[in-house]
Order: sequence, then structure tokens, then C-alpha cells
Amino acid sequence: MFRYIVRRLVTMVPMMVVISILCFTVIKLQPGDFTTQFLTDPRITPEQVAQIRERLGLDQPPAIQYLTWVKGILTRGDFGYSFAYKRPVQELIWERMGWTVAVAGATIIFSWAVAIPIGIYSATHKYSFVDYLLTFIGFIGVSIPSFFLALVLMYLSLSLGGTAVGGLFSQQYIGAPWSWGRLLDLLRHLWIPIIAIGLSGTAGLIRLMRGSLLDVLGTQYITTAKGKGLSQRVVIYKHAVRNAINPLISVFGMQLPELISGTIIASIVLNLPTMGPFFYDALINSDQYLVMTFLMLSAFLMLIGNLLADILLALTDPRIRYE
Amino acid sequence: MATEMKSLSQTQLIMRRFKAHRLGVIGAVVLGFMYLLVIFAPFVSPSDYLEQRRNFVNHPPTPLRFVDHEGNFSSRPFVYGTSRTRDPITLEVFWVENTDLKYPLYFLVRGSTYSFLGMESNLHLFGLDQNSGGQFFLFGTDRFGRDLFARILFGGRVTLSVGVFGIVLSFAIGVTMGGISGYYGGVIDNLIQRLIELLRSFPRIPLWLALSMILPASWSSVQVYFGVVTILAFLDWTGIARVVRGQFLNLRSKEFVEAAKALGVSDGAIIGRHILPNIMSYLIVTATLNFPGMIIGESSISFLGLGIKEPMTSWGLLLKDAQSMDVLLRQTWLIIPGIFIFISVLAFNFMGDALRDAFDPYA
Amino acid sequence: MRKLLLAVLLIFAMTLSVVASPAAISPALFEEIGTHGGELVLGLASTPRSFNFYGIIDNAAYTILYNIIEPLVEENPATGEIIPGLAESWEVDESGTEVTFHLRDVAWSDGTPFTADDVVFTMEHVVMNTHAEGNSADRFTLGGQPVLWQKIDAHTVKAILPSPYGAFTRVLTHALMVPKHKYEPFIAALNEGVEPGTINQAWTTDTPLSDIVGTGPFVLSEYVVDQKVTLKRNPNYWKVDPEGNRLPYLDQLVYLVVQDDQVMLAQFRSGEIHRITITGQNFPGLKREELDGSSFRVLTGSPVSPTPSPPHLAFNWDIEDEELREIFRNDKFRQAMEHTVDRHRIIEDVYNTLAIIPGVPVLPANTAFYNPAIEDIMREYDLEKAKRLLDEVGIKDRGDGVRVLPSGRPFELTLTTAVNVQPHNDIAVILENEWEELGITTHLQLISSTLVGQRRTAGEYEAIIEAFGNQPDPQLRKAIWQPGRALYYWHRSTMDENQEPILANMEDWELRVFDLFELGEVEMDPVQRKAYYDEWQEIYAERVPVIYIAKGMELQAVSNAIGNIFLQENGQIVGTNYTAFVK
Repeated sequence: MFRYIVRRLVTMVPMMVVISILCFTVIKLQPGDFTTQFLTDPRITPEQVAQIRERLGLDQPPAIQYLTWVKGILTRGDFGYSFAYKRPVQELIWERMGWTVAVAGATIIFSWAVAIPIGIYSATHKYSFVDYLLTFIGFIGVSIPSFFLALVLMYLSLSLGGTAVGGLFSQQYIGAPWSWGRLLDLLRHLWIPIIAIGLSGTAGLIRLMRGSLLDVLGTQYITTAKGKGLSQRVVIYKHAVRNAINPLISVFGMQLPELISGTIIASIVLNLPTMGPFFYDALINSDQYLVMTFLMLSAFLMLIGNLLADILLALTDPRIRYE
Repeated sequence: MATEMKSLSQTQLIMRRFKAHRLGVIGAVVLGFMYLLVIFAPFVSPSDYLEQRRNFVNHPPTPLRFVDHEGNFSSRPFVYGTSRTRDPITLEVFWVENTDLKYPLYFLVRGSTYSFLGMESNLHLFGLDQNSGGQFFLFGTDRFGRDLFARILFGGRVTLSVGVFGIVLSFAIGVTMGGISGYYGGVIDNLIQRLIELLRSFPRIPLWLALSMILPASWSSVQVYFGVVTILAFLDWTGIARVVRGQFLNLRSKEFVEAAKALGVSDGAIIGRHILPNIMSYLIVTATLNFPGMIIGESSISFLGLGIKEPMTSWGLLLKDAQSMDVLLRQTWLIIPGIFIFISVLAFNFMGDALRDAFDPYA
Repeated sequence: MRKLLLAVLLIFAMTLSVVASPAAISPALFEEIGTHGGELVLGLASTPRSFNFYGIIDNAAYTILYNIIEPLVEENPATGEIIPGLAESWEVDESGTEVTFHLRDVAWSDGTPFTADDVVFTMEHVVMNTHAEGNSADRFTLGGQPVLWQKIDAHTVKAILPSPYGAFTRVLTHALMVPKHKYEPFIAALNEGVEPGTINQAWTTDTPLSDIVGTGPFVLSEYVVDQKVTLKRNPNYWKVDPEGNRLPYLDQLVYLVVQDDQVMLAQFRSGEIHRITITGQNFPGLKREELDGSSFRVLTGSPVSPTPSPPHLAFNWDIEDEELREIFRNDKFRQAMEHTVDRHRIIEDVYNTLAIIPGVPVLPANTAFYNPAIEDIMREYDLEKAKRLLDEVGIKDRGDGVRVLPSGRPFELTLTTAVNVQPHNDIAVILENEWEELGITTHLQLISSTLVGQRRTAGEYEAIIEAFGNQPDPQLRKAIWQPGRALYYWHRSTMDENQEPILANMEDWELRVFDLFELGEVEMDPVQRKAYYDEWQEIYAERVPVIYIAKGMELQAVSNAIGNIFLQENGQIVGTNYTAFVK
């Protein structure tokens, strides 16, 4: 197992390199670059634009730009310079990491905490009224686009007299030191993003859990266990669920990169201070090093997530072995 | 020979089990009905989805009546004419029924001409007498005066076909890749897994943005959209592949597979006869769960302005028109496309559920 | 006789320099005298990417910085006149090329005195610094010669113009003064070993807030990344209200970063944000709530602000396709297309009636420059006339409803505009419908406004709907409206790679427009200037290089708790941050 992990980590390096090259290529295929916006402003003459291009290194061929950037990472840990903010990229991303992780983390916790019990209940009480009801609610979650759901939730909240719409905090608590009041304010604001972002994932997990557990419950070794006289509860939790969790583990690994890019739209619609909207802006403005670093970070998280999922899979299912 | 007889009756068993699952049957019927509606959209719809009736902007759904304001019942349904007023202060637009103008609803009526499968026709399922001057908007109109019912039907063509197209494509690729990876293991597994990781490492929305900027501007909106959908499907297959692979890893060590191998049954036969049916339920669940994902993905892209573009339409794009609190309040009928999304997703899920139960050999 | 002399002297004095109690500002800005205290919360549509006014092109940053730093002269927000700012008064000499400014005796927010050194430094090393990404060098360069600045004494500065410049004071209203003692380290010309681009590194978003000093009504007190910017009152601000009370009234000004306009509306309705700009589509809902007794009021302002310009329809005169190029350059074709624009319907449906027929592009409210004669020249919606004119150009219906070009191929047009700007998007959808009716196969290309800008700059479009930031004085936007300039985008071949006009490529009427702008730039007599710009408008209305569509009215919604934000008699909305107060 240990050797396997090490091997995976080592393979990650060339993968990141390939990914970085592909990302850079896609970015460079876009027409224009950061200086294109200056062409539409009458105050900047073409000489000035040329000066700016030179200063930012955009007049170099793409290959040189790429290699210079990589060199900066390897020698100075410098992930490049944001053309728009005039500051190093890593500082800007770091500033926004906190809330991104917090919101996504809360969403993941919520969806798992809700989905697993509901999925188990649904499977063990198959075709009951509650099963149908929960299934139905789950379906709503999967079938409404998150941006629309966010709007509807905001509207409902407003019409019920709520004032905690949009963003994570009321104006007076933004940037304020932590206190019970602030925590309460955060929770009042957080429920809309969590539901809007997490509902479809939760519904998916419920379906998966239910389906997986049902399958396991029907297998032979469960029948054997029952035949052996083990109690229902022991059968379900000790044996069935452990195996039913299997496909869900695969999903868990994938959820981490959803963290960052999947919530872009909902974050824009709900005005959350996360990396999503920030990245979208950077892409529109061709702030290329910001885009690259963000893509690389996302890819890195993805690779780690996959590794994690595989490790967890091996830990929970003793029949799976890695050479 | 014994094996062949077994698979025949297995199919029959599956069908029987499916029919027993009433919700699933309902789902299948609803979907069938929906597909019929959208295929025959020009016939079913009384109006052209592109026509802008400037005198009927933001018109609510026309109430269909059987009893007139004097209390008389008529077996033929009818609608009243409407007139528009604008509040001078708030500038709100109000549509009021005018009980002096009565327009009966006819079936199989002549209306605007359209071409369908190369033939020209002007027969519509229902509508008003086209010379009467009356208007019937089943689901109201949008801010350009376009019939929402017509737009939902024609938009449905796009949404429902794209979902199928995307699913089939990602399905085919995912099963193949996941199967090969999980069954053979070793180096092949490693390579395919790395490939999957590579693709999955691309965050979708940024990649869609980037790629949409590269697509030729000369492409029509439909071409662009299918291009983007193909890209979506090419990224999406990895999810299915992972699940399939997990199941293969799981089943690979099962006794009956080892027994079959020991008996000398070929790899292909083992995959086809034994492993596939076992994972079928997972595939179906995943596929049916991916369909709404396709629709949601489509509406998300349209929301960002990268998907279907005017004057073409899709349910996602129609929902984008409803993305405002003022619309929710005052033109609530504009969220009807959302209901269609919801119903089609529900139907697919019920159907998938029933299929899963039907396939389950141990039920 | 003496009375007459006195009167003449008085008028003379008033035309040469502006006399007013220097610190008390125009009473027109006040509906009532306010009280000190409280905070005003506003929305910002994007996050500011720097606090360096001259280092970026970013509207959010500009919005914040206008509260912190100030220009020598200002535009009165209520009347549009040029009034004293950091310059108490100024005189223009007889030749019209020397302007002497007398500076106000004020201090920067960190106590350092504001002097002529700051003015000369700002103008020479910052505003005119071509390495600064937000510089305004070209506005202070006439005929290739820069405006020069000379310190006379601590409170007197002289500007030496290469030629008389009619819009000089107008242009100065956008040249905000920055503190020399804070910006100096970033200037390459004054420091050994400092790279030229370093000016852009000044006042980035991680700068300690106490370093960002200005003379304006507010100073930065807090910045929470991507979420909010808080400013607090500058206790030593020089402006006072008509009763002599120090301004601003507010203790605190808060900007919340809200990128989605639905959230902005929701937060306004919930009372978190106090003032927003709204569209014609938002209007009915909010107005209804106001009538039902909400805690806010909706203001319908007449469209006085020149920005944004009315959306206009343009064709690409430099398109590669030769046949289309000939057609787009044909006046009659464009006049035909003007007949396809149903302005009344657009005002009714797209703007919910809250818009007016625009000028070309000078707005009717801009009495200093508007030429009413254009109203007789602008063409009405008339599809029959459009058809006839298209026939005359040679684009005829081939019998089945499809129009073909003289060469015989069907006439197809791609219409590009921004999908995220609601009026533009909707106008395009309406026009597409009209053109289809004429038999022109129309493809809509609705893309993000950034992409529209790129396509426009690159000349990759056929027909496009755009709007620009505009200024009341046409001179300030000659870059757009004068042929041969960088933003005269529909006919780019009138300009060479060095951004010099190519007169040979201009139509004869374009040459006339070119001359008119050249004349207007140096003309000092306002009456004569207006005559030049009047003629320009008539030419534009007749030849329609671009077709102007409508100008939306100014719509704002304000919380009832905030005072001094109101509708003037002339229909204009007035309300500044330094006159607003909490009731």
C-alpha cells in the first residue's frame, strides 16, 4: 500500500506538467490577452499598449512565457503576477481560499450528513410513504439549476421578512472580529448557499446510497448473514452499509475540485466571497497567470482527491488490493 | 444452448418486473408523450415560436373557459379577447379580459404554415379561427410577445435531444474505458486512470468558457451548442468510468467469475454475460442521474451566455429569462419551462428506478 | 455711467474667474440642511482591483477613489457647470494659452499641506505618465505638444497650453490630485533604479490604508477583500454647507461588493443597501412597493447624464467581403436600416417607457450642445420605406421573401451585441425580427460585453450594437466621434497604425466632421464652438454613420432614511455622498 501511494504521488508530477501545458495552450488559444482591453480605451495609445505588453512579458512567444512562469515557480515559489491587481498571484488566491473552503466544506458536511441516513432509511423502508416523499424532495434538488434555486430561495426569504439575503454576512459583521453574533449571522446567511449549492449533490448521494444499499441487501452474503441468525441491525450496519458505501467513496474524491469550480455560478448569483467569481473575472480579463495558478490548484486538489478516494476504497473494502 | 434460453426469458422477466413498477411506467409514458409533443411541435403549437406579437407583450396565460360570464355553459371551450392597460404611475402592465369578444377554440384548425419532414402544412392541433383576430396563449407570452407554449415545445426539441445525445456518447465511452480499466487491471488500468484523472482535473466551467471562446464565430448557434455538448460528454464519461471500474474491481474477485475463467470462458463472454448484467443497475442509475445533469449543465452554460443563443431556444435558456425577482412576482408564468425540466427529470428518474429494480437479478 | 461700468466690470470679472464663497458649495445640492452622523451603504458591482486611480481601468476603483481624492476644478453635479475644486479661482490670459490657478489652503488627510508641488507632480509624473495604465496623457496633449505646468508659489500654479483649449477645464475635472509625498517613490523619472512601470504598483489593494491619503470628504478605514470597502469622514474636509457646517454629514460610507444585480436588488429591499440604480424592468415592482408603503422611494430622473451614450447600431465599413463593404458604406443603405428601428416600440417594451428618443449622440438635455434641427432629419420607423430604399440600393426580394444582393446571393447579416446588457440584448432580438420580415436572414451573436469589445476592436463583426461612455462636451470624446480616431470603430481604415488620421480614406462628409472637431478643439468662443458641433450633429443625422436608438432615463431607488437625494426641478437626480445624511 505504501509503495502504491508513493508511486501515485510520483506520477502526479508529470501529470501536473502535462496539465499545465494543456491549460496554457487553451488560454493562449483565446483571442487577445490582458492588453486587449486597453485597445478600447481612447486614453491609451498603441505605443503605451506596446510598452505595457513588453513590461508584462506578453510580447514573448507563448513557449517562453510558459517556461519563464515555470522557472519562477521552481526557483522562487512565485506563481506569477496578476495583471489586473498588480500583485503576486499566490497572495490573491490565498486571501480568498478561506471562505471557499469554509463554504464548500460546510456544503459537503451537510450533504453527507443528510444523504447517508436518508439513503439508508429509504432503502430499508422501500416503497413506504416516507421513501417516496424523500425521493421526491431529492428529485427537486436534482432537477432545479442551482442559480435558479438560489434566486427562489432569496425571494422566499425576502417575502417571509428575512433580511439575510446574499453574501455571507450582514454589512456590520463583514471583517468584524468573531463573536456569537457574528456566528449567528453567518448561519443565517449560510443556509441559502448550502441548499442551493448542495441540494443536487445531496439528492444524488441519496439516490446512490439507496440504490447501492438495496443492491447489497439483495446479495447472497447478506442472505447468508441473515441465515446465520445475525440481527437485522447488525446485518445492515456492519455488513451491508460498509459495502454499499463503496461507490460513494469514489464520489467523495471528486467532490473536492467541485469545491472550487462547481460553485462559480452559485457564488456569483449569491455574491459569496469565494474563489469562483474571482476566477471567472480573471478568465474574462485574460489575467493569465491567475487563471493558470487557479487551474493548477484545482487540478492538484483533484489528483489528491482521487488518491484519497482510492486509499479510502482500499481501507473499506478488504477485497480490493493494489499491487 | 442452455445459456441462450436463459437470456431470452431473462428479458421477459425484466419487462414484467418493470411493468409492475407503476411509477416507472408513468415516467416512461410521460417521457414518451413529451417526446411526441416536441417532435410534432409545429403541429401541436398554435403559433410560430419566433413570431413577436408586439401588441401582446408580457401577456399572462389566457384562461380557457367553458362557462361564460353570464353563466352559460358551452361544450366548446373559448377564450375572451384581452386589452392592455398600463398603470400611469407604476408603469405596470395589466391585461384585462374583454367579455364582449368571445373566441371559440377549435381542434385540427388551419393556421400559419410550417414545414415538417419536407412537407408543408398549415394544420394545427388546436387554435382559434385565424381570421377572428383573437389570441390564445396557453402559457402566456414573453417580453417580446412570443408564445411561451410554442417556445417550450421547440425548446424542448433542443433540450431533450441534447440530453440523449450527450448521455449516449458519454455512456458509451465511459463503459468501455471503465470496463477495460477495471477488468484488466495492471498497466492498462493505471494508464486509463491517469487519463481519467487528467480529464477530471480540468475544471468544467473554466474549460467551457475557454473553449467557447475558441469556437468559430461563423458557426450557427446550434452547431456551437452541439460542439459544446460533445465537449461536455467527453469530460463527463469519466464519472461513469470510475463507477464501472470500482464495480469491476469488486466483482473481479468474485467466485463465479473465477470459476468461469477456470472453465475457460473467454474474457469477452465473461464481461458480456456475467459482469455487465451485474453492474447494469449502477449504469442505469448513473445514466438517469446524468440526464438531469446534462439539462442543468445546458442551462448553466446558457446562463453564462455560452449555450443556445437567440433566436433558437431551449428550456435552460427560457429559464434564464425568468432569472429575476421581478419576473417571479409579476410574470410568474415564465417559470413554466422549469416545470417541464422538473417533470422530465422526474420521469427519467422514475423510469431509471423501475429499470434498476427490473434488472436486479436478486430481487 | 458709473453704474454701467460697475456692471460691466462685474460681468467681466465673472467671466474671467469664478467667484463664490470658496468653501460653501452650491445650494442646488441641498434639499435641506443635514445633520451629522450615521452611515450610508452603497453597492459596488465589482471588486476594486487597486486603489491607484491612475494604475488601472476599473470603475469600482474610480467610484471609491472619487470620495478620497479631488481635482482642481469640479463639475457641479446639479448644474454641470465648472466650479472651484482644489483651485479656489483661476484666470485665463488674453492669448488663451496660460491659465493660472490659485490653490485652496487645505491639507492632506495625514496633515501634510496641499501645495503647488502636489499639482505639478500629479500632472507631470502621474496624469501624463504614459506608463501608467490609467493615464490621461492624450487629453493634455494638443497637436503633439504637452500641457506644461509651472509652480509660481506654494499656492499658485500655472498651466501653459500649446494652443487655446476649449475643453481644458472640463478635462481637468477628471485629473484627481494625488499626494506627492506618497506617490514619489514609485516614479521612475525621479528615482534611480526604479522601473517605468512601477507607477502601477502604487496604492495596490494590500497597501496599508493609512498610506492612502487624499483631500476628499472621506478616507479609507477598512477593506475586506472582495466584500466591502469602508470609508470614514475626513474631519478636515474643506467643503461646508450653505449654513457653514462642515461636510460630509455622514460618519461612515460603506461600499458592499455585490456582483449580481439580483442580490443587489434583494439587499436593497431588505434595507441593507440604501441606494441603487435600477432599470426600466425593475421599475414597476419597486414603484408598486413604494406606493404600498415601503421604506424607500423610486426616482425617475430625466436622462441628463451623457454616459452611457445611447446604444447605437453600426456596420463594419472595413469588412473583408467586398460586396458587403460597398453596401455598408452606402448612405442610402444605412438610412434604410434606420427606418427599421422602431424607437417607440423599443422605448415601450425594452425600457418600459422609461427612455427618450436620443440625439446623435448629444442628448436633448444637454442644452449647451444639443441641436434640435436633427429632430427633423432623424428617420421614423417605416418598413415600407426601408424596403423601397433597399430596392434602390440593389438589394431586392427575389420573389420568395428572401432579399438578395446585386450579385445574386442572399443577403445575410450577423448582428453582434452584449447578452449581459439587457437593453442591447433586447434591441437586437427586436431588430432581428424586423430584418427577417424584410427578407434579410439575420444571425444573432449575443456574447459577453467583453467579447463584444474585442470583436469590435478587431473588426470582426458585420452589424453591432454598442454604447460608449460619453461626455457632455463632444470634444472629450472626439476619440469616438471624430473620423480618424481610435474609437471611430466602424470605419477603422481612416486611421493608420500610429493612430494618425488618413484623410484620403474619408468620405467627403467625414472630412467635414474631421475639420469641425479640429476647429472645435481650439475655439474658445462658446457660441462659435456650438455652431461647429451643431453642424456635426446635422451631418450625423443625415448620413447616419451609426444609428442611435434610445436613451434610458436615470432610475434610482433610495431609502427614505437618507436625505439630500432628490429630484431637481429640471428632472435631474441630485445626490452626492458628501451632502447625503441620515435622517
